[in-house]
Amino acid sequence: MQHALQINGLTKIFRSGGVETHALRGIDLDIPRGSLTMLVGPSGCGKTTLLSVIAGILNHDSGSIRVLDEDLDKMDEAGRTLFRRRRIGFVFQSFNLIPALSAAENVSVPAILNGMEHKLAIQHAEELLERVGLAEQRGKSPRDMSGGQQQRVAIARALIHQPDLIVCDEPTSALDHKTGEQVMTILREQALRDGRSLIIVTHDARILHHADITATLSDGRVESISTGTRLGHSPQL
Amino acid sequence: MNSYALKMLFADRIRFLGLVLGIGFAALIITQQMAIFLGLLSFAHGAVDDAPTAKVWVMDPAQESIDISGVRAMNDTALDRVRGVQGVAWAVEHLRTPLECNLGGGLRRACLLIGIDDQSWTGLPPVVEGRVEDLRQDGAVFLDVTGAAKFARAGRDLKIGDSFEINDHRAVVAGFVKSKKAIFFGSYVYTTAARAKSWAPSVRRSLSYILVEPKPGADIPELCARIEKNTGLKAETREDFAVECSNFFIFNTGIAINFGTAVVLGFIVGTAIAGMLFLQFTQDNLKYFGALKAMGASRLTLVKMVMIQAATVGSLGYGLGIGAASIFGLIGVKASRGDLGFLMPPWLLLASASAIFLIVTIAAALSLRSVLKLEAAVVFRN
Repeated sequence: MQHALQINGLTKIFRSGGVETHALRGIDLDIPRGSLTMLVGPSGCGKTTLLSVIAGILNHDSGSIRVLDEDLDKMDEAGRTLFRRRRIGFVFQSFNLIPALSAAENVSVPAILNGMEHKLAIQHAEELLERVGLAEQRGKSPRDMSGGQQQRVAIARALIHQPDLIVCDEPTSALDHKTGEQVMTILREQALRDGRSLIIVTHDARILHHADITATLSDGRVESISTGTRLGHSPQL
Repeated sequence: MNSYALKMLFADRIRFLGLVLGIGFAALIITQQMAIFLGLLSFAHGAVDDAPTAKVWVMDPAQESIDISGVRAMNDTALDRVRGVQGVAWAVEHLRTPLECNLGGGLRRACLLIGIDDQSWTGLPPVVEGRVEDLRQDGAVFLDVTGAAKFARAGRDLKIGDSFEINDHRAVVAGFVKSKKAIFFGSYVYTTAARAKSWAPSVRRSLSYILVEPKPGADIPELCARIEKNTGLKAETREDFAVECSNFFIFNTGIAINFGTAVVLGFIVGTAIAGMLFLQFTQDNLKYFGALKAMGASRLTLVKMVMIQAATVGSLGYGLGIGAASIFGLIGVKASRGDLGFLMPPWLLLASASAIFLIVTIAAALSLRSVLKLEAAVVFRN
């Protein structure tokens, strides 16, 4: 079986002013490819730290981690940068769309970073914006768009370079329920195509029914893993 | 990503304008002050430049500069001794005596009476009105147009045929010349060397300078050395004497430190404005740089983005500053009728560009430091 994620005994300690904070205390987690996984748990349980390590933007202290069957431990900084650029798509809580650029230009960024010619990247971006229902908004600045529209642009941006894994940090927390549901539907429909995997950190219990796998974290450890949607047995958030 | 970097820059219009204006102001101050300094320096050797055909200047060994350091006159026999040096084709006397012009009606103004050889006319600036030969007529003088304008502003607008007094001698205006601007504050009055001698107060030594033409093919620095050895006088090439005049001006006045202070201040202000605004601009965009870093933008890509932003504001600011300095120079020189010293040689443009490059590099380095130190993980911290 191909894995999106294989984590064994992963730890991460933050040190500041002589104080050590154990953010991850031995995470074990296996996730198959093509699944939508949600990382849930109370604030400070280590969800975002774990997502950062998975995405290759934060180094862990011990344990091992393989993402998309590649060993992150064996990659240097440049290798991890290249890995992120080619194989990972990002959706951020606050969208992080560049207001100076149009929606299409924002979407084109990962493609251009991967060496695609600007004109072609814009063309692809416009196609993706059409897929997320924003064809008419392609020339608009993100500052002139609603939160839901901005998150759809961010989803299109995460998809344009056809990554194998998309990591999302609280993608619906800044949106109302209806819009959040629309965004999750689009994420499911568009992002999970072609065997792509999706890992979402969320506090939003209303979207948990979209998950194939739900990993509940507590105090830097995986407390429980559930498969499929189990209404009435929602993990503690 | 370069075009996107520029869009990010242009989108923040107020900061972008502030950056361009800040750098432009620095470029203006640096260039304008340096241009005025160079203009004033050129004044220091303006009188030397007025005699372009004189390849060698001979003077008293204690003479340090023309006009502003005073004149240490030589014995009249010096002319013959110089003429006798091997390699000298011809040598002529050149007198410079500070006097006072009585323009009539109680109006008196300082002038420098310049006596020139009445055969070769060496040392006479280009004639703009009148005929050179008329200088041989009784009491004839040529006025420098700038000096004549000073007389006119004082209330005596002299025309050809008008007369005034120099040291109780009647001087008749026979023409006008266009002298190079010089440090000397008075007006230049040109006449023949013989007449200049007779008008000047009687002194034991009256020969200010000897202007020498070397024989064809003669090595001029060697000739200077030979003149010095044979006569005990000081002999310099025209170029060396011009440099010596500039150096005397620099080292005997506070001009260099005054202008230097303004230039350094322009640099510091420019660096402070550009550095602060550019850093603010980068800080405002830090989360987007963080997002780009997370999405796999390499350090080189980020460096290029910041550098192209810095280079753009630097180039625009430099162009604005140079343009403003040029306009200032054009208007200033015209309005002041040449009194404003303003010289903008190509190397000054290059020097200003280097200063602006340094300012922009410092500003970009400050910004790059925060971009490169930024942890990509910051994008997940809200």
